Amino acid sequence: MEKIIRVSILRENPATAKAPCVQIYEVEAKGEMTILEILHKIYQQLDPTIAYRRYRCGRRICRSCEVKLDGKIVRGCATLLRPGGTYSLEPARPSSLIRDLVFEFDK
Amino acid sequence: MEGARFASVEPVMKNYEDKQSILTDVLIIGGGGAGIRAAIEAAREGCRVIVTNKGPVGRSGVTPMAMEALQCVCTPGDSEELHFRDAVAGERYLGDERLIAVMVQEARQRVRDLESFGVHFKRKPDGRFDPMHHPGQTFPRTLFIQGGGYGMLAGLLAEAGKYPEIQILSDTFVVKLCADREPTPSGAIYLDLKDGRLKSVHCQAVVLATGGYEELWAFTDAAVTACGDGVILAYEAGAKLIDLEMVQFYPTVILHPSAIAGTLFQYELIVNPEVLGGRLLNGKKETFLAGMPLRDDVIRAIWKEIQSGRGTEHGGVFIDLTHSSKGRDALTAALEKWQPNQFHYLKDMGVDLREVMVEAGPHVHFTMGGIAIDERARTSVPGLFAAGEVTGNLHGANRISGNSLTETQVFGAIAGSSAAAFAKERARLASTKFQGEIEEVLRLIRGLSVSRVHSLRPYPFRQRLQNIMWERCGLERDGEGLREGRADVEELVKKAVTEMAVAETVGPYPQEIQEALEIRMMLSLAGLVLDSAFFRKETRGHHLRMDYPSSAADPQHTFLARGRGIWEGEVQRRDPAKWKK
Repeated sequence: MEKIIRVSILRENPATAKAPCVQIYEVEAKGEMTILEILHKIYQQLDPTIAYRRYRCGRRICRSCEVKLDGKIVRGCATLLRPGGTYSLEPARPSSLIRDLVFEFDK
Repeated sequence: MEGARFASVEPVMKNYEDKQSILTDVLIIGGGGAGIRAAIEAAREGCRVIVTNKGPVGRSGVTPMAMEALQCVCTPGDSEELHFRDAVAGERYLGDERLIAVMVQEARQRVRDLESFGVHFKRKPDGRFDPMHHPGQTFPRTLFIQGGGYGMLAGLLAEAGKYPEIQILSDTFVVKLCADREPTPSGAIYLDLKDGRLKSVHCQAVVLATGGYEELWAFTDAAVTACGDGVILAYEAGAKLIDLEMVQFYPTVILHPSAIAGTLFQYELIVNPEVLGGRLLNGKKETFLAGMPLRDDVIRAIWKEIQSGRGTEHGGVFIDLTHSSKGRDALTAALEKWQPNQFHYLKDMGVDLREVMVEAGPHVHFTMGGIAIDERARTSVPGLFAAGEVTGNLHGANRISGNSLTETQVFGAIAGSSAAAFAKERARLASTKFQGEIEEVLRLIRGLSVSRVHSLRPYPFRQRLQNIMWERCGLERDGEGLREGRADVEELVKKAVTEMAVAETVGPYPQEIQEALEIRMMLSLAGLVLDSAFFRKETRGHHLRMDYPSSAADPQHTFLARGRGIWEGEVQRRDPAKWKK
């Protein structure tokens, strides 16, 4: 029984003149999925232009996949979203944005 | 859009015209355990250092994934000689004994260095080290690093931060080494992911420390960044590669549920009655493994169960701590002590190992083959050095648990020192512009079609390659399958050259362009791995040749170099008399 997880992602490319915009993606899910799994699926099947960090340390330790979920900073690899739900994703550190959900750590 | 060529390389080109090239003495490619240790050593010797890292430093690459294990002699009665003997035998007599000797002799000093950098090791109440006893060790020798590889790297980065000579460039993907006069490298071209532009760096010496090439296989617990960049950069620069067929599988990587698939849980601790007192069970919930064998033997035992139809639903075996010989309270305490991170991570993801069994199976975990080096971390190309997993002759056919982080520290320091000495000796070269190399990379990028047809995107190419390697060059190999795998890869290379397409992107974080360039490297390397696996006509360690099931009496290395083909060579032995005082 497939259901939909709906995520709206704040997108911004500082290299273009376009204003930041929110794009909505609907991801088919068999059950709960981590944010990182959802982003992989969007990149692989829906929109290759989405920018996010694909790395997963496998230990919930590195914070490479940190993202703002409904206003709260969480780790993408360890945060499960439910089918039927609607969620918003934004970069965890907008002040050092590279693009979309990717930001610079060292800045 | 269909059929168009990739057009938005203008920012890339413009940038090169901007002359954003940088200059340094030592260029270190890879900012993990080996690379940062090399940087510290080169800076101590007064060199300017640039470290590049494909992702954010400290939060990408293979080091942050490493478990808490670093092998070093620390128990009364134990000795460097025993560490040496354990390694030589455990590696199935394919490890370069000159390198093993250096590793065991310098491990203690490198641990002291790490402590001085603020890295903490678990100690007993009386202040002595509190090591774990892992398979293949005569004495307990696995020091427990607080925070694992991530914690070790954090300490190294804090130390590196004290040297103004060291500049670390995160999100920097090196795609090509450049040479003024062949073959010594004098710089590199990189894609700066922060702005999507191609840039160059000029240097006197290069250290490769990019980690392994696990990402060539469909099932791996290693990082997505582990594409073997450094191995192929070295190959293209003319360096000798060694034993590329030697890939270590890890027995117990979680298969299901998908949210935690690919997470490693240490079998060394599961099956140790002193630690977690658990067991591995087949799909019928029967035991099939006795004692604490080394990784290659555990892999074979698991594989036999799966092949005989006794696997679990998702094709693995069960990790079972629910019947731990220790009892619930002692088990909880042991998990908190030895695997706190993995225990809590899995528990929060809905898998409490005290309550449920979890399905796990073999994944590619570590690549033992790579660039051939000597005791001074020199490759066969003058001015090109290498350290860590990217190198190929330290771990033979079966790396012993805990030796990889030791390797990063011992050979990282050596590579930094060797590169610094080389850089100081080298006559200053007139700075050239690397125009030819830049053009070459630009041609690759411009050659990419622009399309949103999913089957032509880099990602499906990556998947196809990973499936070929898993099927043809995985746990079981035979000549015919390896030849077919080679043909499949050739076909994929042709298709990639003519058809691979990316979605049009402008500016920072050109993810698909990065992936397309990575796939180009991965396809070249996969061909070399298949050739090496075909060439080794014996079974040894993790290289299981179904058509050659026995081991040769006198093991030989598999060497390979551009323009020189593939050949076998002697394993360097060390005179046992040298250990006598």
